[in-house]
Amino acid sequence: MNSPPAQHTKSRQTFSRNLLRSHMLIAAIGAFSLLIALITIFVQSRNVYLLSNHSIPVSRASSMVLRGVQHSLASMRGWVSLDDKEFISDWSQVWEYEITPAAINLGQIGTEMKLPGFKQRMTELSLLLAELQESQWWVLEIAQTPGNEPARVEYQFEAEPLLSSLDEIIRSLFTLNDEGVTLFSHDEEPNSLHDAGISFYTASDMLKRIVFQGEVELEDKYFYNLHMLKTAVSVLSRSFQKSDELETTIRYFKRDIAALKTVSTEIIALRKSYNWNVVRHRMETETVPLAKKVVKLMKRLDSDTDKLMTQRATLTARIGNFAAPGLSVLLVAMVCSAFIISRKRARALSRPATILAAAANQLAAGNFIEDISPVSDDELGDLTRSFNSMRRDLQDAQKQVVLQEKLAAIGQLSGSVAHDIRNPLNAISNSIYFLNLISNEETDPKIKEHLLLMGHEINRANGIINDLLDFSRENVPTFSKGDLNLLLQQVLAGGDFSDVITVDLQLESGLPVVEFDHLQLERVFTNLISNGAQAMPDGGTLKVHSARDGASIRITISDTGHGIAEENLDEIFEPLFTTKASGVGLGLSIVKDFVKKHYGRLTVASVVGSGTTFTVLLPMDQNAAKE
Amino acid sequence: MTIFNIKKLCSCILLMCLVLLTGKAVLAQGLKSDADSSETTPAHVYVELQRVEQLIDGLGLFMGVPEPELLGVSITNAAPHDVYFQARTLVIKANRLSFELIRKDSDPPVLPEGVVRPAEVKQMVLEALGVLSEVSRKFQMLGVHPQVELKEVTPSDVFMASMTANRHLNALLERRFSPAEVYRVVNLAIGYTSRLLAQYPGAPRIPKKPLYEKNKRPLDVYYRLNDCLLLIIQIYQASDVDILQMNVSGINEKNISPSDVFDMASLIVARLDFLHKSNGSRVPRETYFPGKKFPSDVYQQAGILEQQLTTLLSYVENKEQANR
Repeated sequence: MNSPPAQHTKSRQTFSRNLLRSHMLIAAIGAFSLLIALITIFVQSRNVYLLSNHSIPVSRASSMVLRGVQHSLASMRGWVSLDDKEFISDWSQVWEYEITPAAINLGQIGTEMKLPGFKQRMTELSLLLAELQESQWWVLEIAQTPGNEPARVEYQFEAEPLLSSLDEIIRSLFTLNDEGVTLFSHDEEPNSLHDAGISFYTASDMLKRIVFQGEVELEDKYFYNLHMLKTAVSVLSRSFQKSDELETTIRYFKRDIAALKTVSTEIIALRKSYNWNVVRHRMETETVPLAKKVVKLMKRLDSDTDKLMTQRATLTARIGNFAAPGLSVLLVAMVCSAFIISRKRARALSRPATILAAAANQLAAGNFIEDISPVSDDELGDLTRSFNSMRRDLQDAQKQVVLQEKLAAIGQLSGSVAHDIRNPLNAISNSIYFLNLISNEETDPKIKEHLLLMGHEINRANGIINDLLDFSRENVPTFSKGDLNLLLQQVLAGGDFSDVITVDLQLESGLPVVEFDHLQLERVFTNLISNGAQAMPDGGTLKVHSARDGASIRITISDTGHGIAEENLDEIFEPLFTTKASGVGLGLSIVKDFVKKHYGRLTVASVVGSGTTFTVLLPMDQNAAKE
Repeated sequence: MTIFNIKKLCSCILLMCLVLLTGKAVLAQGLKSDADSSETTPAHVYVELQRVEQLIDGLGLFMGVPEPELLGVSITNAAPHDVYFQARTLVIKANRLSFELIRKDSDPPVLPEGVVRPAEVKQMVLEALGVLSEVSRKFQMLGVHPQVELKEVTPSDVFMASMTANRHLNALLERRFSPAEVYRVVNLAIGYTSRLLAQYPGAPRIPKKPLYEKNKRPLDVYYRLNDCLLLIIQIYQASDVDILQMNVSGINEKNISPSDVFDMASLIVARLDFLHKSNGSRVPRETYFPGKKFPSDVYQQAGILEQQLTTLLSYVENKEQANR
């Protein structure tokens, strides 16, 4: 019988899905390889990008800042030394177009690069550049101004008026003297005026040299001359002719000399101080150190960037070195693995088909091999199962054909042979009957025993002949009403059981009278009871029960004999099947046929070593059962 | 105990007593000084300023220099700090006059260390008074009239009085305050503002120099500096602090001299110094005599200051907004 192919469900694997999966697996291997190649390319391109877009611009911006700082210093020095305003303009442009944009650019690139500690350094740089620019600005402001040398300013605003005043006084005295005005009470005193003039002009010249030429070593000589001037004026003041005008002149003379001493002391102190040239001092102590700090910071930044870039370049080179062989190996591995996996998957996928093809060939050659176990739960699995089902059906059909042919041969043979055998058997039976009639007490017991044996064997032979005839004929039952319990009692009464067998008869009273073929059912019960008794050669209990079972009457005949092996249970009703040493194996086949013709059902249950139970269910209403 | 030890002990006790007495004296002096400081009011400063004015009037008469006309500006809400810088200018001018007339020179007064109190202003005015008194004595002029009425005045009144005294004193000078000196004070203001801007990372401290404009007069510089003062007022107002207000609407434009511009620049420096001390920023760079300068030079330099103050105002406003 063909079993229907398994239903396709969504959860079930299908051949196409398996095929798709197989292809997807190969594609996944390819994609994986491609992904590695892509990652390698991405890392490489990123490193190259960083090297080209970060390292170089950082170096460029960094060197631009450095160059700008040097440039600004040069411009500043140019202005300080040469007093050319072009340098100021140049300085301004350096900051506007070189340093500031480069620093901003550097900050932006550095932020993108995510250099460690870069932000802090940029803040430091920004601060330093601001300080440097401011410092330079102030240097530019101060340079080329009188204030750059405070001593000069003091000289200009404080010493010069005094020197001018003193010069005027001395000149006026000389003029008066030259004009013959009597200034002194002694003739020798004009020498003192002369001395005062020499001292003043010498001191005046020395002060100028100290302030403007930095000849600070003249300080002592200057003050000596100032002292000589003061002395000369003191001598003069004692020798002057007394007059109000001259007294006032001498008072102013002395006052201005005293003021000049005070002022020049301050001026010389300023000229000697470390800060005598403000710009130079500021450049040395502030501007240049700031520029150096910037340079140092930029160099540190450059060094860090270089280090990072070197690391990246090394990494890029390493990846580059690895990429070509690595990717080649990966390519080979991909091809190999694709081949291995494809082959394995192709084999797995084609195996059921190969097995099926081989089995089909075997089947075509008439070899009914065993079932093929389905190796997959897909369309090929379904095909395998269908093939198995088909193979079993074919095998059964073949068996049936053989059996039918055999039975047909038996039928033909038994029909003609039964008449030919039964006649001699009847003759033998009559002879035995006659011999028994004529035998008496004096007859040899051995003869009597053999006559009895002959009678039994003739009965058995008749039984076989009856079986053959029943099997070969179309036995149409002839129904008539009857009592099944009574029939069972009659069959049991006619039975020849050994003494070791106990019969347990339990018949339900009041069973309805039903219609049946007496001969056929007698044959059914006789065969079943006889089989039960034969199954207990060493004794046992033979149970015969009848009972109502719904619309049927159930008759069970069970023994406590050796039982039937499980593998034989399905075949005991097949014609010509027997496990007995004697017999042709038609009894149970006929029993089943007769029960079937009564629209009944015959079942068997057996446990090896415990016994067998046959159950016959017969409908009480034949007509209803027939419908 | 030996005699030596007794002598030693006595010496120690005497020394301790001496130390205690000295300490007490110093402490008493300090307390007195504090008491003086706390007792000084604008009225006391005003009295001293009036004495200064009397001396200047006397010197003016002696030298035959007429009193200049009034400037026509008014001040409100001035603080001792503002008056201090005017008084400091007074001292500088008095010193210069002293050198010119009697050849006596003194060091210029230093900038205040902290926030100025009236006592320090008074001290500065007294210094000017001392210098001018000495000059007057040299010319055998009458002494300062001791009787001056003490009346209720505000720091703004003191400011105006010191400004008037400054103008009058400037007129007596042979070497009057020139654009070069204004230039120097403007540079000082630039230095202060740079330090204030340095507190804001990334802020441009020294802007590009504005274009040089020819033919500028002191009046133009005065107005530009007034614009700077208005910016400073806005900077203070951004922090909810009211400061001095100056009304220049009635200004007598013909009478604006470099000395007046110098006073205005000093006022700006006073306000920046106050702001600078409140913020605790670094001391500004020292400035030096720039040589010959014209009003146009000062005008250009004041342009730098104006740009700086504009930048500072924007940073202060942003900071205040962020704080809110």
